[in-house]
Amino acid sequence: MNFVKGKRKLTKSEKHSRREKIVSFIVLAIASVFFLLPLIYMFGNSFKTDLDLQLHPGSLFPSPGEWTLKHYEGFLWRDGKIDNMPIWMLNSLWSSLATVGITLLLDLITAYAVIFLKFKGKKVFMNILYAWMAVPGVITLAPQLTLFNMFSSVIGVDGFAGNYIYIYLWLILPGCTGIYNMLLMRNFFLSIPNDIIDSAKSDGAGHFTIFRKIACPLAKSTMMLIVLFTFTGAWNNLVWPQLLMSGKDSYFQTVTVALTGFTGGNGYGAKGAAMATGVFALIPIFIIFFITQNKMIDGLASTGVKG
Amino acid sequence: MEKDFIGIDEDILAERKRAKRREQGVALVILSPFVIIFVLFCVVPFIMGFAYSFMRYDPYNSDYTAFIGFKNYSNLFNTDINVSKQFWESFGPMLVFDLVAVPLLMIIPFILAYFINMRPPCYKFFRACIYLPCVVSISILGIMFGEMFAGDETGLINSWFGTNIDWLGGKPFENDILRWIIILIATIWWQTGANFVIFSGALRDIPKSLYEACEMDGGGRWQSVIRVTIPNMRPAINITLFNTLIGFLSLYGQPYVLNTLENQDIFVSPMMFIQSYLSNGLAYAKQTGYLCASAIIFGLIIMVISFVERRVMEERHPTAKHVAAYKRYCDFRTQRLEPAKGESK
Amino acid sequence: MQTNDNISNEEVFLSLKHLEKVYPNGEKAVYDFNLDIAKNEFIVIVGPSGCGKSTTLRMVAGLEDITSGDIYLGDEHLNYKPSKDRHMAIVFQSYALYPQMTVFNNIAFPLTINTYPAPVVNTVLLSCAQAKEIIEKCGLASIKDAIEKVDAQKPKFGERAENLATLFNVVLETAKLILKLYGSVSADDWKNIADKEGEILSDWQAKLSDAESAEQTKITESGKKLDGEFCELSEDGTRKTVQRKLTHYEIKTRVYETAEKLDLAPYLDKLPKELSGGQMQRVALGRAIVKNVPIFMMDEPLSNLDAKLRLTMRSEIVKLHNRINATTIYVTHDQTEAMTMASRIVVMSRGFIQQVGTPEEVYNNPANIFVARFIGSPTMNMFEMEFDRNEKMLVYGDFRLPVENGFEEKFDKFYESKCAEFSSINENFDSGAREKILKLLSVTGEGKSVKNNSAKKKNFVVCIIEFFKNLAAKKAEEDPWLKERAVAAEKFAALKAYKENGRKVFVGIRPERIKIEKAEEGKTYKGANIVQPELTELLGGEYNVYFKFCGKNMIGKIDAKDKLGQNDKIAVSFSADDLFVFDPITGDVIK
Repeated sequence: MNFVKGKRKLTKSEKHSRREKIVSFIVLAIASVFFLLPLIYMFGNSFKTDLDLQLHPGSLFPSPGEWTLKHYEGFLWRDGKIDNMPIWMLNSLWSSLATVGITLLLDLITAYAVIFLKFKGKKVFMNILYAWMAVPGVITLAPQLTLFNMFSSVIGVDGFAGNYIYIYLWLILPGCTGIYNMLLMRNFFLSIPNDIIDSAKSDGAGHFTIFRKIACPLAKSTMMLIVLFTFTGAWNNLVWPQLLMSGKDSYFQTVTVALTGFTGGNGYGAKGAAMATGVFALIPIFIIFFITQNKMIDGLASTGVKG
Repeated sequence: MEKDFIGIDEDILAERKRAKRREQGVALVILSPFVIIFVLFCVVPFIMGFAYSFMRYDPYNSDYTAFIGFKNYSNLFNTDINVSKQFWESFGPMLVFDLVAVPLLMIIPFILAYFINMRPPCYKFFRACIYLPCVVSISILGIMFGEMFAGDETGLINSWFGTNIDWLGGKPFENDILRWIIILIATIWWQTGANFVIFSGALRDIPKSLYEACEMDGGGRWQSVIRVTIPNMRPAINITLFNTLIGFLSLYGQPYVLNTLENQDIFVSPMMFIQSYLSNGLAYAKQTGYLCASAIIFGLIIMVISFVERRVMEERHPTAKHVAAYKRYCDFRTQRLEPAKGESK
Repeated sequence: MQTNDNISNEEVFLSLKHLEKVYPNGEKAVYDFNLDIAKNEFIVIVGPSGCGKSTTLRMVAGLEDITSGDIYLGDEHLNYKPSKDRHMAIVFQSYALYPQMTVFNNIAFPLTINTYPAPVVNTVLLSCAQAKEIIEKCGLASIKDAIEKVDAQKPKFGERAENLATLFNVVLETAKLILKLYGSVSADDWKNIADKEGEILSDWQAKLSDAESAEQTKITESGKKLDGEFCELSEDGTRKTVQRKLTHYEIKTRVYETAEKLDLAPYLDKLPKELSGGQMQRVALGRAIVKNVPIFMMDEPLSNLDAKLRLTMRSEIVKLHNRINATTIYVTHDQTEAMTMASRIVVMSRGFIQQVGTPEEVYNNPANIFVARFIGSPTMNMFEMEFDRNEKMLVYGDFRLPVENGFEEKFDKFYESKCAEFSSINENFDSGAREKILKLLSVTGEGKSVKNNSAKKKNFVVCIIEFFKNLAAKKAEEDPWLKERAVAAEKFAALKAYKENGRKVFVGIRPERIKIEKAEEGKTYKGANIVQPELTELLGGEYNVYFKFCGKNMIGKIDAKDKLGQNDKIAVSFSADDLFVFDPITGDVIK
C-alpha cells in the first residue's frame, strides 16, 4: 500500500513487541527441536543397517547410501516375534475403532436421554457418574481381572477364536465407560438452546427425529473431540491390555503391549527392528493427528477454559 | 357431570400420565446399554474388590475361598512380610518423583504457552510440535528413550558425549538418580503438550483490557504476569494440577519401559507392584485377596491426596477486614481531638 | 473545521498536534488530529463506531503507538513515554477490574506498585515537634484517654499507631513516639496521674528535647538544610523530592478518601464479580482518581449500563470531574452524553475531525452536514430545495422558504472558493489533496467500501500463493489513488457547473425549531405551508408530528395542549435564521 512509514524512533511498545517475537521464536524453536529430536532419531535409525547402527550410533540418519528397508521388511517375512507386527496393528486398529464407535454411540444416546428426557432417577444417575470420577481406576483392576478369569471358566471359552473374542470383549467394553467423554457430550447437549428443541417439538418431531436431525448434526465438533480422545486413549492403553493378555498367545496382543517387548532392556540387540516397529506403530496415530491437528488442539484448549 | 366440571379434564390427565410413563420407559431403554456395561464392568468389580479384600480367594480353586476379615489388611501393614515391604517401599520413589515432576509439568507448559501467546511467526507449527509427543504411546516412548540413553556405546547420548554411562540402571535411593532424571525428561517430553494446550487456550481468553489497565497502573511485565495472567488462569490451573497429580500418582508406564533387565523386579511405584503381581496370573492367584486390599489402600491414598489438593486449591473469599477497618478509621476521624481549650500541662 | 481559537496559548495544558495513526496493514485510522486542551475542560470526542475516537484516546494514553504527531503536556513531550509516566488515568468500557482482588485492593493497586514523589522529611524532628504540640494542647489526661480508646478497639498489628495518628491528626511517626512515651511510664504511675503528672510531663519533655538536639547535631554535621516543616532543601532552596513507595497507612487513607467520594465504603471487601454494573463502574473510577493525576480519560464507560443507570452516572461523572478539578477526555458514540457533559465537543467521522466547539456551537452552528445530522435528537430534518435567484427564496414545487439577507452573495462566494480549491486539488493531486477528498467523503458519507471480513484461513499453501500474487501485483504499478482521483474530478466538475447555474441545495432544520400550529378551518396562515400530518406520537408533554414536506419525511414538535386530532391539519413555517443550507456536493454549510 501507499503509506510511508515515517522515519521516527520506534516507540517502546513497538520495540517490545519486536523483541517479544524474536525471543519467543527462539525459545519455541529450541523447544520444538527438543520435542522432535527423539522422533527423528527413531525415524532415521529405522533405516540404518545393523552395521551402521553399531558403528555410528550417534548419527540421526544413516550414512549416505546406506539406507535400508530391511527392518521394515522384517515385519512381514521373518519368523519370530517381528512377524506378528501386522497382526498387532490390526488388533489395535479394530479394537480402537470399535471402542470409538461404541463409546460414541453410548455417549450420544445416554447424554441425550439425560438432558432431553424426563425420568425419575436422573439425579441419582448423574451423581453416581460424578462419584465414579473420584474413584481411582486401580481399585477395580484386580477384581476385573478376577471376573475375567471367572467368567471365562464359567462360560467355557476355548479355542483360538473364542479366546480372542472374549479377550477383546473385555478390552473394548470397559473402555467405553469413560466418564469424561460422557460429561463432554452432556455439557454440549446442555448448551443447545431450548428454543430449537421446542420449535422442533411444536413442528411435531418426536424424540428420535430430534436426536437424528438436530442433536447429532450440532454435536459434530464434540463428537470429533471424543473420537480423537478415545482413539488415542484406546490405542495407547497399556495397563489393562497388558493384564488381559499376560500369559496368552502373542497373537492377541495390541501394538502398545507388544512393543513393550523392546523396552526395559528386553530389546537388546534388536535395535533396528525396534526402531522400525516403533515408526510403523506410529503411522496411524500420526495420520489422524496431521489431518485433524488444529481442531484437536483448539478443542483441547477449550476444555480447559470451561473448567 | 364430573366431566363437564371446569378446569380438570380426566381424560387429559390420564393421557398425560400415560405419556409420562412412556417417556420413563423409553428413557430406561435408552440408558440400559450404558448402565448394563457400566454396572457389569465397573460397579460389580468395584464391589467384588472390597469383598475379596476381606477374603482369602483363589479364582482357580474355590475350596481355598474363605472369609478372613481384616487379615489381608493387617498383613499389608506388617512390613516384616517381604511383599508388604515391597509395597510400601514402592511409594517412596514415586512420591519423590511426583514432588519434582508435577511442578515442572506445570511450569514448563506455562512458559511455553506464554511464549506461544506472543504469536511469533510459524507459531502453529511450534504448537503442533509441542503437542505431537502426547499422541505417542508409552511403549514407543520406551523404545525411543531407551535407545537414546542405552547404557553402552550404542546409545545416542553416550555416543554424542563419548561417555559410557549406564543411564537406566541402579537401585532406588542408592544410585539410580540418573534413571529418574531420564524418566523425568521423558515424562516432560511426553506430557508437556497436554497441559500446554490447556494453558494456551486459557491465556488466549484473558481480556486485553486487563493488561492495559495494569500497564496504565504502572505494572511492568512481572506485575502483569502475577496480577493478570495467573489469576485469570485459575480454572485451567485447577484442571491441569488435578489431572497431572492424579495421573502421576498412578505412575506406571515410564518406569516400566525405561528400565534395565536387572531391575525388572524392583518396583518403584505402587502401580508397578500391583500390575506386576496381577499379570503373573496363576503364580499369585492365591494372593488375590491381598492384592485387592493393597489396591484399595493405594486407591484410598490417592483419594485422600486428591481431596486435599481440591481443598487447598479452593477459592477462598477474602476476609471482610477492610470494611471494619474503615469503620474504625471513621470513628477516630470524627473523634479527632480538638486542641483542648485552656488545658494546662 | 477546527476552532481552537477559544483557547489562548497560556492556558493550553494538553496539546495534541497532528496526531495520525496508520495500522501495519496500511489502514489509516486517524487523520491530522489537532486539539489544544485547557485545564479543567471536559472534552468529549463523539462519533459513530469506527470513526477513530477510541484510537485517538488510546494514542494519548500510550496504549497505541503514534504514527506521527506529537503530544505535549505543558512542556513535556509524551510520545515516547510509557503509559505510567504520562500522568494519566483511564477508565475502560469493560471496567477492567482485577477479578481476584477486592474493591479495596483494586483501588489501592496503582498506589502499591508505583513510587510517588514526596518531600524528604526529617521524621525525627517532625515527630518530636508534633508530639510536643500535642502534649501542650491536649494535656496528659486526654492523651491517656485517647490511647485507651484506641486500645479498646483491639487493634491489630500496626493499626494501633495508625488509629492514634488518625485521632490526633498527626503523622504516623508521631503516634509511634507518643505510644513509646506512654509505654515508658508504668501502670501504677498512670493510676496516680494527678500526682505524677508534672513528673511524667517533664520526663517526656526531656526525652523529646534530647532526641531533637541529637538529631540537630547530626543535621548540622551532614550539612543538610531544612525548612520550616523539616523538609530537606536542595541547593537552590527548593524542597528535595524523592520517589518512594507509599506507606501502608498513606495508601489506606487515600483509598478510604476515594471510596468515600464514590460511596464505595460498604463494598470495600467485595470481589468484582459480586458487584453490579454501576458499582463496578465506580470502582474503575476510583482506581483512576486515587492516582491523583491531572488527566482523566474514559472510553465509553457508560455503554455497558442500563438506560436509567446511565442517566445517574452521567451526572455523577460530571460532578466528580468538578469536585476533583480534573481535566477529562471522554469518548462516546452517544451524542446526548456529549451534549450534556462536555465543555467542548469534538465530532469525528472516519478518522477526521469534523468540528470542535462547545455544545452550543456544535448545535447551533454545525460546520457540515455530518455534524448537523449527528448532533441533536431527533435528528435534524433534511430536505432538498432549489435556490431561485429571481424570487430570492428556496423553492420546491409550491413550497417557499425564506432565506436570510445576503444569502445570494454568500452562495456565490462559497462556490467561487470551492472551485478554486478543487481546481488546485485536481492539478496537484498529492497525498494532502487525497486526504481532503477522503475528508469530503467522510462528511457526505459516500464511498464507504464494504470491508472484506472473510478471515481466510491462512495455512502454508495459501501464504505462498498470496506472496507470489503480491509480487506480481507490484510489477503492474497500479494507481492506488484511482478512486480518490475520480472523486476529485467528479466533484470539481459538479462545482463548476454549480458556479454557473447551480440551484439545488440541502436544507436542514431541527425538529424543535419548526413552528407548527394547528391549522383551523377558514383561517389563513401567512408564510406558512398547510400540511396533513401522517402520524402523531404523544410523548406526554408534546407531540412528535410526522409529515411530508418537499417530498421528504419530517419530524416536528407541538405542545400537547394543542390537542392534535387524527384529521387535523397543521401550519408549518420556518424562520430563516433556523435554516441551515448545505452544499449537496461537499456537504459543507453555506455561509
